[in-house]
Amino acid sequence: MGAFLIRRLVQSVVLLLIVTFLTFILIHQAPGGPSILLSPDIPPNEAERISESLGLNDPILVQYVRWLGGMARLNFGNSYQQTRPVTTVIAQRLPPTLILAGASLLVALLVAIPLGILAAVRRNSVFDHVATMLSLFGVAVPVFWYGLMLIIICGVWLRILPSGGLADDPSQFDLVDRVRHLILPTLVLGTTAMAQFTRYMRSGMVAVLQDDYVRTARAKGLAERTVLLRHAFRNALIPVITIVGVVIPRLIGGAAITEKVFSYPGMGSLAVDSAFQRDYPVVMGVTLLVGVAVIAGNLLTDLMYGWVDPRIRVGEGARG
Amino acid sequence: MAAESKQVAIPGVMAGNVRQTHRRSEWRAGLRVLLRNRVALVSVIFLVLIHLVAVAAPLVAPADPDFIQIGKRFQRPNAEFLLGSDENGRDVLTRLIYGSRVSLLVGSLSVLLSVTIGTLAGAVAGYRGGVIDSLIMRFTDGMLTIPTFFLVLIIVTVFGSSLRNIILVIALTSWMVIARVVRGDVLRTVSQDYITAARALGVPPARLVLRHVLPGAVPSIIVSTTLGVANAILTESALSYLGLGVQPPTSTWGNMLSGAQNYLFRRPELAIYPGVLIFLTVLAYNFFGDGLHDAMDPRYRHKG
Repeated sequence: MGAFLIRRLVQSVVLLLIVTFLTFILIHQAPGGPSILLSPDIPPNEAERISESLGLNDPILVQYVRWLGGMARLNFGNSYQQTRPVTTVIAQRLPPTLILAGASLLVALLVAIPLGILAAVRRNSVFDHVATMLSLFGVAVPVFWYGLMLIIICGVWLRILPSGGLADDPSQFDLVDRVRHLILPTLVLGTTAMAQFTRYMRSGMVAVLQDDYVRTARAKGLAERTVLLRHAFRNALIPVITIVGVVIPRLIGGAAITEKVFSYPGMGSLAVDSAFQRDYPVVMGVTLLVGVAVIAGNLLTDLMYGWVDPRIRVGEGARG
Repeated sequence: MAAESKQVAIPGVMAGNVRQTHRRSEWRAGLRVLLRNRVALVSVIFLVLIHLVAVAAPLVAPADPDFIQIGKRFQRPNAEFLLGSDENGRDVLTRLIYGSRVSLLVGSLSVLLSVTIGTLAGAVAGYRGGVIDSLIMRFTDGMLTIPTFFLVLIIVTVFGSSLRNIILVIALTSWMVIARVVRGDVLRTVSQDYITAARALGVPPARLVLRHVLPGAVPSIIVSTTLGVANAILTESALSYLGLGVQPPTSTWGNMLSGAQNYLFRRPELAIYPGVLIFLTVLAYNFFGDGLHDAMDPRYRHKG
């Protein structure tokens, strides 16, 4: 276990170095510098001076090493655009994203697990077909369009929910307002995640139910409920855990579209805006955070395997 | 010596013939299953139709997609504007028809590219094995863990959103699953006797892979292709929606949607049309892919 953790740590650090290095090169080599320097309010020689003072004229490798040095001291630098530390900018955008991601994940799992199990148990029944249709809807629907349709139905026709525009000023905290703003984006993100979870839950359950040990459990007269939940369910859960591990970082880093549709102040829109404005320190901060989220998701997945199926021992086996 | 090699060659040739006819009847059986699958059949017809309309857009479209008539904004559907007009008085039906071109072009070209990359990577990794295999597969796994839409967003924001860039970026971020699938198929095929026989006969590696190993992977490649097109169309429309796709006035389903977003209260149906088309196209590709999967997998054939 200890050796496993150390190996994973080394792998993670290497992965983070590669990802941040590539992103660093990518954004710095891109045409057009930081948009703050292109502002007409700043005279050209002033822009040149700022660019010099930010070290943007140094060779790219020097700049990357300097950024790494900052990282080592947990200094993420200041946002060019907002003249605040990157940590402050991210700290403000992260909680809404985490809340949205957590809520969607919860909704998706609460719907998908029973749906997938029931669909597998009553294979080829009407219920199964409806569940399949639902999950196909979630796979095929364009996220932004689905969001817009919900806005039209709930915000424009029924007028029961706000269509967007959650205040990102923490001082005006209003729990009811927060929750009302959360419902539609959660529904959108939750549906797409739910679609995938249902598919994996169903196919995992269908496969497991054909195994001999399930027949044995039934033969020894266990209640069907016990057979399904105590015996089959745990093993069928493994592919679902894998896909949850893939989805989590996506919810944290990639909910850009949903956030944009509902003008929700989270990480996704921060990533898009800062890439547009070539706000290098913020882009790098977001990239690092997403990278860490990916690694944490993978680690969590591997640990969950061991919890669901004790035969899978973390750290041994063929996964080199 | 000559007699000996002849004797080895004969069973090989015979096996080849048997496999050829076997394969032909496999395809025919598959086609039968596909035709019996009504949902897949309807999807194929829909896809053929929509591609024909896209190719023949100038012939089919009732108007000029960029012709602006400010005096005729937001018209209800009528004889001149079959589906009404948009915020600039342009014909919505015409713009939908022209918009299909971008979606379908990006869908097919980017997937063509990603399938090529994925097949190449998977075939080389599976066939060569060893260090090359682990290098390629570790890289593939690494790429798989990065949230691709995040990557696509940054690259397109930074390098600009030309049609070429969008196709390239989608291709470069979607080849990994195909590579894994092809590698698996290649590994399975390579261990079979007829490959050992072909190798013993001195068939050069490139020919061996192309003629004898890869055909075994064709079913999975085809299925991944249809699903890949569906995903590429979704990605393109999402980029367009965020304003990072092909730029107006050229219409795409995605940018028509983002244009319509500003008039949700006035004319919600302007936002409904392009979304329905994206949804149906993606759904049809999914059904088609599922149908192909069932048709090509012998285990499913007897159930249909």
